[in-house]
Amino acid sequence: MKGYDLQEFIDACKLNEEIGIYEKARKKALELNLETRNEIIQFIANGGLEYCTHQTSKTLKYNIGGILKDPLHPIPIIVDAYTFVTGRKMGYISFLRLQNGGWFIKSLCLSVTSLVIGATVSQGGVSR
Amino acid sequence: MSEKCPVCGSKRIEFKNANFPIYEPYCDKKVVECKVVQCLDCDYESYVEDGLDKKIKEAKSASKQEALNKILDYLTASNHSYASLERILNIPQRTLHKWKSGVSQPSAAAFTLFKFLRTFPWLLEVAEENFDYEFSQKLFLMTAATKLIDQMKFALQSGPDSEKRD
Repeated sequence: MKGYDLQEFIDACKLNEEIGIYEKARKKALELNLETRNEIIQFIANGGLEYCTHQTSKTLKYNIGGILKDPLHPIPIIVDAYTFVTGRKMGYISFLRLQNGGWFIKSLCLSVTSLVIGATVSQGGVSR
Repeated sequence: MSEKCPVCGSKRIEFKNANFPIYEPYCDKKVVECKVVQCLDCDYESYVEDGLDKKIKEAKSASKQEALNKILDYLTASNHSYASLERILNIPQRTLHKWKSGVSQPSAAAFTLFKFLRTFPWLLEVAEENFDYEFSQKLFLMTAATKLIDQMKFALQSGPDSEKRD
């Protein structure tokens, strides 16, 4: 079951609300040619997530003293994950929302499927 | 800077120095020095924005200039003067000089065109023949065939049975 309405997340990007982006998501977004925070938000706001398909909705885990524990929050924070298509590539995005309404992009990268296709093409000697 | 984690509210956060990578084709890799905030209680880790986007844009702009200079050097090294490149590509004379010296910058589309020309230099011949379709198709096939023959020669020379064949 989905934790959030995807459209609400996209609308928040359209309104350019304060949206946090995890460091890993920022770095991995480079795979999609998205470099600045603004480029990432504008990409989502302007229909960049095509053919979005819900994958999973998991509870955010906490790592306390090196041990994964259940969330400290009384209401668990759900992380929704989707795959999407952009051009000839397939991407993966996951995001969460806090009780105060703030959104966070946890992951944004090429999906494993895209990487497999890329590797197959490379082995065939087509690319580079 | 907030002194608590925006996700879990923990005050056990750390700031550390980090590098943000800048990639630009045909240019050496660069990094932008920045800071990362890390929560010790949840896996939240984020770049401290504090003008980071501006620094990335500046670094990217410098990388683009470097890449453009290298592309122009490559194209002029293959018997093309700036004047001939400008004539072939139908762009105003002296434009390449201005780009190279940083007096003006190419548009994003123009810069992408030059990356295509660096990747597929034979496209210049297509432009020189005024995009004649028949010529373009023949040139494309000839270029592909030459490349294929080169690859086959290399495979024969470096293959495991190459010594036996010799």
